[in-house]
Amino acid sequence: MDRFRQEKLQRYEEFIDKRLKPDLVHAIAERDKVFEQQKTFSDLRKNIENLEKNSVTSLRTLVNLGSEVYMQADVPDTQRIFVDIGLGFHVEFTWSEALNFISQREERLARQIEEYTRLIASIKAQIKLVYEGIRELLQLPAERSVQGPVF
Amino acid sequence: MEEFAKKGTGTVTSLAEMFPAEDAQKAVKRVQEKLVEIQNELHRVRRFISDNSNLISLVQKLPEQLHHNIIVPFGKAAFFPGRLIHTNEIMVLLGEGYYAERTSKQTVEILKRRGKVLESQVGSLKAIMRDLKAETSFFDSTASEAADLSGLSANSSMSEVFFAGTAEFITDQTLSILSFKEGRLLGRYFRLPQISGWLNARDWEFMGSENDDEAKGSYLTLDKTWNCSKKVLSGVYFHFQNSLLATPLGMQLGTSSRKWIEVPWRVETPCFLSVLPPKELAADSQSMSGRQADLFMVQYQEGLLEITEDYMEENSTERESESGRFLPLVVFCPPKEDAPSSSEADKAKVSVEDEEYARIMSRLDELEKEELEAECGNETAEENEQVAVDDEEYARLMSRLDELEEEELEAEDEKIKDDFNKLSDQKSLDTNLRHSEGYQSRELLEQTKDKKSASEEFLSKCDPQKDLTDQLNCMGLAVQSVPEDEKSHGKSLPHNVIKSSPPEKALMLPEVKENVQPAPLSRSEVPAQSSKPGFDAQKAFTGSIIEHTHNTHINSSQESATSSQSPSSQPSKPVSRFKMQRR
Repeated sequence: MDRFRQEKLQRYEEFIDKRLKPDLVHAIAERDKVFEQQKTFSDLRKNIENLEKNSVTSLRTLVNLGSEVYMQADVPDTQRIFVDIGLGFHVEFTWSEALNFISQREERLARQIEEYTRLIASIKAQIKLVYEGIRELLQLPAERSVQGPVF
Repeated sequence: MEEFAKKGTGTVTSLAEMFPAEDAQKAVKRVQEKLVEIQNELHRVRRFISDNSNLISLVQKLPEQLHHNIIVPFGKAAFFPGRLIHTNEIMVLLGEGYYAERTSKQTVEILKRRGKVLESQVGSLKAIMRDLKAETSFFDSTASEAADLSGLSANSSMSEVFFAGTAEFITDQTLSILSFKEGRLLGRYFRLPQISGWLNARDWEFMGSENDDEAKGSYLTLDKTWNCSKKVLSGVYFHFQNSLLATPLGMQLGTSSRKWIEVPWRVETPCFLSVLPPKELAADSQSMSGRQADLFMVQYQEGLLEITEDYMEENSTERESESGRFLPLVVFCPPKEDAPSSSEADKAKVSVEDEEYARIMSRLDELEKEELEAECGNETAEENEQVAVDDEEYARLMSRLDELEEEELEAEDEKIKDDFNKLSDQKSLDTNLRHSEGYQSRELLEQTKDKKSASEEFLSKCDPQKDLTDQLNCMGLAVQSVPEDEKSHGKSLPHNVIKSSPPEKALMLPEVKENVQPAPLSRSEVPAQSSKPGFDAQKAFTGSIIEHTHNTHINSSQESATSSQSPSSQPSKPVSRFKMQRR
């Protein structure tokens, strides 16, 4: 009986360490990536809106050549902007088109983030569940969850 | 160890007594991790370097045209078509958010300087890698040592090395170091004559528990990793001439009271070997195959130690003690008749002398006690006789002590000369310093005309070593005026010697000449270490005039400063101290 329980315990722990925790780490990393994308697009939106507001038609900027070495660059026409739509494709948009695309893209990214958040929560719940199982196997007393805020 | 020297076999100690297996495992893992980390770092820096050289060529090329059509990035997800203008004006980040506008040529220079820094980083990383690789290179010596000890010599064409669960770079390194082939164990049939001789219960045991039925068939089917259901056995296993050497890298060693034989190991590497006695193996293996096993397990655990640089530089007597401190087990010297290198012989002599010294000292203490008792008690004739005898013995011992001391002095003098050669350039710097300080203090001297100036005049008249004493005198003053400066000097002893002379001069002029003469001598010989000759020389002429309190104060400060540098001179110290007490 005891040996059986030992084995079961070990299997549970292995499940947590080898399956659930790596999954959790992976999910969090994925979500972080999406967060980053969201940020780049919101930045882009802000920049385009800024251009619109100031009605900038030509732009002079500094280009990073690498290793923080910059050179001046001239953009003769800012009306047409190439936006990354994924998979290495870039589409030439006008400002309004670009803003439209960005808003759609942001919506999608927000959905993705929500999905990942849910996934993370469920993995955490599973970890908790397995821990509970281990606790029951060890016949330890249940931890009393704190009721309400503690002052 | 002595047993080994006699019979050629080791003493038996249980592995668990010597060190916990998990610790060894952890240490080994740490070395591996560090190596991987450094390799990653090296890759990173290499990438920087290649980026940098690309950038240099780009920056050189750009000003060739007035403008270039490029894509101007606009955030990460968008860009405009545009063109580079002002191709000879470049903003370069200097750091901390400061930018400088440079021409292409100037930028190239900056970038080249950056490249140099990166190169130096690569150099240092490579040095670290070398060190770590040196640790792994003990594989080679492990095999050869084992061969020496077991009387087997490795036939590299017949030998193979097995890897189980080791990292790839360790595999590669080991193979590059050894001339052995990489061996593969044949699969699942235990009773086949394997390449490693006969596999037996021992194999069985360290590959997994015996009653683990489902794992039985699968241990040996894997050629690189011996997997069983619970653990991956990692380690490098040498096989030569019917013996299998295992160098477990993080191998899970059995917790049973397995006996290991310690085999003497050269002290140059802080490793040791544990060889399983064939007898025990046979006993173990009877249940499985009934065959006499010739399986050796060599446990080496250099991973347990942190090999620091100063550790490597120290001579081997200290190393012995060091390793004794770090290791929870004994690191053996090779038997003396095997490798009587000159240094070792010397050391042996020294140790003998030390022993004798200790003996004499203890005897002296006894005698002293007796003397005291005699004084306290009623003085009968017998006791007086006893005292006389004691005194005689005492004198004899003292003379022996003196002899020992002299020997030590000689040895140290030699060492000191060597040191002095090394320090000679430093010395010259110091003398320069002395001169400059001398000039300052001469002015001071003239301002404070008193006895000292008189002594100065006297000296200039009659002293043949006038310039030296001058220096001494001035230096002494300078030292008095700037004590902090003196403290900051690494070589404090020469100063000390000199320092002690001026008050002396001021007080007793005729003696100055005599006293000064030993001073330059001692100065020329005394190195930074506060070794005994310096100490004694000082004593020799401070004893008459200078107050001890002043002197000892200096000494104590210096000892504390120099003791860390010269642990080797410590055994000699008690001698002089003792002498001081006696006189």
